[in-house]
Amino acid sequence: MEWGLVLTVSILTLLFLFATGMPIFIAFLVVNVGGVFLLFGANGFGMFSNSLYNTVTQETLMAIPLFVLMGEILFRSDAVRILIDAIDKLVGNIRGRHYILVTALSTVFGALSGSAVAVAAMLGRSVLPTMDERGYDKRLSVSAVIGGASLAPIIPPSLLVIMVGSMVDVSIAKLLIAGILPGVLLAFMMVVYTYIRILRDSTLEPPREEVARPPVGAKELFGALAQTLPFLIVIFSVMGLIMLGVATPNESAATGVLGALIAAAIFKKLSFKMFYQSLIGTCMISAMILIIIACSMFFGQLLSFTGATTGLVTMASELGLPVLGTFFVLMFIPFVLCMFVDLFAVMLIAIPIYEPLLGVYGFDPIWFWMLFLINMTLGSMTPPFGYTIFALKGAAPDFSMEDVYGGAWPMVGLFILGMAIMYAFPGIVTFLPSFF
Amino acid sequence: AQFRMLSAWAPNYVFNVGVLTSFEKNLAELSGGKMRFNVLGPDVVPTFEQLQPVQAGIFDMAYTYSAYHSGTTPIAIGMDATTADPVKRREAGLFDFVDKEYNKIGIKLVSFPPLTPYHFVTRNALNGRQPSLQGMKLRSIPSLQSLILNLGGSPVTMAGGEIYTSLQRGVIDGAPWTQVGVKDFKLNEVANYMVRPEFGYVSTMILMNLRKYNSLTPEQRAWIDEAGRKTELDSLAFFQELIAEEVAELKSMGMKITEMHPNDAAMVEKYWNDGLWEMAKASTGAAGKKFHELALETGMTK
Amino acid sequence: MTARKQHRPAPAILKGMAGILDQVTRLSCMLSGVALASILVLTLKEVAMRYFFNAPTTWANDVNQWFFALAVMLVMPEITRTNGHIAISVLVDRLSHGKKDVACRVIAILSCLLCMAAFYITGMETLRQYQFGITTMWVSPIPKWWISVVIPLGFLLSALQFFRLVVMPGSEREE
Ligand code: NA
Ligand code: NA
Repeated sequence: MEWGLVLTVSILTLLFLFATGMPIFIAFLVVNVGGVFLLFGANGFGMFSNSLYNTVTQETLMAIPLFVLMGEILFRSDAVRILIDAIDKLVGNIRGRHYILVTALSTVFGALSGSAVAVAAMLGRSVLPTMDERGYDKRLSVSAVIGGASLAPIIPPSLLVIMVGSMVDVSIAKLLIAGILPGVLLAFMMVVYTYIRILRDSTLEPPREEVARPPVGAKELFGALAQTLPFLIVIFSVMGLIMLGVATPNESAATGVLGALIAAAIFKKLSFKMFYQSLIGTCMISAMILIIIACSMFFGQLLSFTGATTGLVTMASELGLPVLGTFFVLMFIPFVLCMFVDLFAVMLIAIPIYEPLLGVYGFDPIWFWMLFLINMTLGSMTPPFGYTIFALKGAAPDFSMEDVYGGAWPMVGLFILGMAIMYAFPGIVTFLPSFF
Repeated sequence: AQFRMLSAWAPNYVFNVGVLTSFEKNLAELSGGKMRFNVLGPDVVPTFEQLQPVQAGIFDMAYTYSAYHSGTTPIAIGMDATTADPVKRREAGLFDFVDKEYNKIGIKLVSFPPLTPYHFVTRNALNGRQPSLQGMKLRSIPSLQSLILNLGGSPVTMAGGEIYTSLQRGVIDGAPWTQVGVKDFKLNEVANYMVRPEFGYVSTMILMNLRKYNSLTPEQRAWIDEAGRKTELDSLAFFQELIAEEVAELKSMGMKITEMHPNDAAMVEKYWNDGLWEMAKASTGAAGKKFHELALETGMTK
Repeated sequence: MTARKQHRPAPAILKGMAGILDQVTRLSCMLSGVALASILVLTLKEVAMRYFFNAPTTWANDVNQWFFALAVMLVMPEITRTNGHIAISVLVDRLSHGKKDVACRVIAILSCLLCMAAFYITGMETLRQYQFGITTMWVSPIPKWWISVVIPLGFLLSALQFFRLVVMPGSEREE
């Protein structure tokens, strides 16, 4: 049980350091530098440096800054404000429409991207400040964004699904399709949750008289519709180009930026200064997140090296509990690990150990791996730590960590409820893939 | 002794299963159970950064592919341009040549097991004209760049995780892939054809930290050498059987065969060899040239 | 920030050095933005070349890795200068003003030391890559240290900025 000690000490150290309020990446550096010296001495320098190199040159992470840039441009060009106005007119005087809008938006962008971090950072930069400015409840706004962003790896396209699919014996195509209904279910639950909150507490929205407005004429309605068109350009430049086989999912982040620039031009807000400011803003937000990812990546490597990660996952698979208990433990361990370690690393370790267990417990592979994936995404948005949380905090500096936590918790509850529903009704996951 | 081995692949990937299982068995048999190793994967050190920690002695051994550390030395890439016969490779002195070159960077070459040829998988059938891949976009890696160009294709570099979706949506028309491994990466779901002829042969490498190796007794070193030699033969047999099985299975899952133009079919092996030798010679100074000459003299490459 | 009033004005020499540091930081930050713009342009160009002309370049993907490293590492000093790193300040925020100030300085000292350590470690590896002529594994390889040198550079500048937060806290904040 040597790994147990290593794991306990390193995680407690991290928890303590986080609590002191030091930058997250510095806390990881403390553990990493200390760990390297303890384990390898100066021989470990190369491993440490090359791990950083590996992260900051990784093509799959490039979608993060590009997606954030898309959000920056949409925000700085006032596109988000215009869109919210337009939807306002289109949807009419129903309550909570902006929360619904944000949930819908984040779900759409989640569907477009495969990265929860990218979507959280993008919407945190564009939609959240606008909502805040207009007097919407901070925490409820965070809920809408963080929940929707977390659908990104679940609804296709999704790099995570492809990674899982190539490591286990299931069809990638089926696994991709399997994500659609769970994604829709979770999005629907978010909408219902938001409605319940608003109906019970009217202070969550700006005062009614401020947002209520006289009935809209047909002409105005048409104008509002026209104002949403630039957004369709953005969505097309991401999703459309993937579907048409023009761009890969990674490249679509760049074509999305182009779409955003076109939208900005239509709103007559495109200027060199705006573009430059967007670039710098994007670099700052993305680097805050990526430096944490880079440092925690190496922390994950050290944990793996000491055998802690494998030990923990193996232990989970060998407890000999009843089926539901086993399922719970199998999900719980990666969930906890995702707070400190990158999703990919956890997958690399857990999948080969879990795979043989599916037959033993009679779990349907598509169903199991989809829930596994949802669970990993959940781990990244569960306070106190996780990439999705850090991404949102980095993108929305005006929101305190408490606001972010406060917004994240209800979504954690919803995801757990959603997973329980999928446990009880596996058809939600397995129905669509059965046609292919 | 218990060694720490780094592998470039996930534990359940067929390369690990095929080679390391055999190496483990051979080493245990030869040493009477005295020598073992535990395998750590890309979760401990990323695939493309694995040579350095073995040089530094943090890990005793590595199971990897020559192109994965071509930035440090590309010379072993040349081995893939020689006849995939481990016995002849050793007889011709090719194994020792690479070993000596690796010794200079603190690494001992233990085993060079050949695994599998490449083939292209494509969305559509080839049209039978020459050049065979004219007008097609194919996912490329540096070692296959010149081969794809010679066959008239457009090489596209993209991250591994993007290949599936890109084939599915037609961003690319095909991808070269090791014959064993198409099924693991589910490319049969998005590509309908396997192009013939296949070409080349990928060999993996088991490496060891030289200082560690030299610190062993002659008897212990002999166990390792012999286990490495036996593993080459075992894995050749293992993978040949597997290739036949996998290709049959891919066909039963609906993949069809499509042929290159005969002129290209006759040349593809040469394109493969030339591309690899070019890489192997880059930045290796005289050694790369000598290695190529040795392979030519001994009739191991064309 | 009210903190500014409580600190003694920094000596001129410190101010001068901080000024130079800020110039370098600003330049570094600008380069980061240029690198991101380059990623955007190259990726778009690559999509167009491939789709419309069936002529993808062999280097765009590789060179993007370089720009990505530049974009991430070179903006780090500016993030440090503006005290923008993500932290969980829930507990620190509850301290009284004086205590919080002390805590911030202690964190800045520690952060400075850690960044120096990271600078040293990554710098040594970059030096090794230079000495042994290690290249990238691209279609047209380039020396690896050309890329990896931005890692120690980013850490060094960040370390200096953290040091600045220790000796001149809050003095250069843009509010
Ligand atoms: Na998605
Ligand atoms: Na978490």
